[in-house]
Amino acid sequence: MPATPFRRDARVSVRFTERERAYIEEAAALASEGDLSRFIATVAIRSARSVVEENGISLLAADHRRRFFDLLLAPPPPTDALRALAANPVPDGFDLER
Amino acid sequence: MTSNDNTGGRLRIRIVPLDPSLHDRKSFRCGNDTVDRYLRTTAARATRYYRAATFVLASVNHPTEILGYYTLAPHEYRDAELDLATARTLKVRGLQRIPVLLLGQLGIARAYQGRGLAKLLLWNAIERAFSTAANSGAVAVITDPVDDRAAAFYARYGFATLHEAPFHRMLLPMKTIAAAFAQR
Repeated sequence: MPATPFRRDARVSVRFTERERAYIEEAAALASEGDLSRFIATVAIRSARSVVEENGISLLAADHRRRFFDLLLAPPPPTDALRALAANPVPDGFDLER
Repeated sequence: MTSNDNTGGRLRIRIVPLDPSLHDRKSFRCGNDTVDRYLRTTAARATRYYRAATFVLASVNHPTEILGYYTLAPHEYRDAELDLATARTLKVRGLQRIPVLLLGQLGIARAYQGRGLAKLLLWNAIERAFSTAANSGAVAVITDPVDDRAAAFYARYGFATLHEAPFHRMLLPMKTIAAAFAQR
């Protein structure tokens, strides 16, 4: 986990026409996802994520690179729940046909 | 439900690849819009182009009804700063490309929730990921839980949080999966 709480202090300035701005404000009110800038940020992140996912690519970043390689180079043993699941994956009441 | 649906009171089920001409993708409701919508709008196309694979849980006697489903897709981590020693240890293809598998979706129809079927699908996905890794390489299974409940579910089976912003991503190393198979 990052040691510091997430601080939203990075800025992006975007220009819209008056009509675009009014339209986005209406949408933000309908979606009730906070104020205008929060709405724009939420939508932008959602779109960014779907673009990245459609490309099937993730980029390692400074805040999680170390954790990523720690997990791969020193993998934790399976949890008890995973071992139990491996031994008995089919829940009571079901008969899984292969 | 007909009587021959059951084997000693147990419902006979199967996990099969999505067949868009058979499975009723429109009626599926798991309680999460994104998961429902993926099945309705994207799963068939992704299947047709072999972009992602969708597996459907259905009862043997009502094979059109989707009781649950999950999706696996190839995914790649890129790291411009990956050092040579780590790349060598991991034996990654190319120096900066690390293959993983994305457990993109997993949902159980509302009427069938609370009966252990989500973990059955999770195990089936893990088995399939393990065999895919053995055939073509993948160092981990990753997933993006839709909410805290989903995150707690994956954490129980060993998925570790990689980051929580701008979205929650969890990772289960293939070596951990291999150890679970070895201990069976």
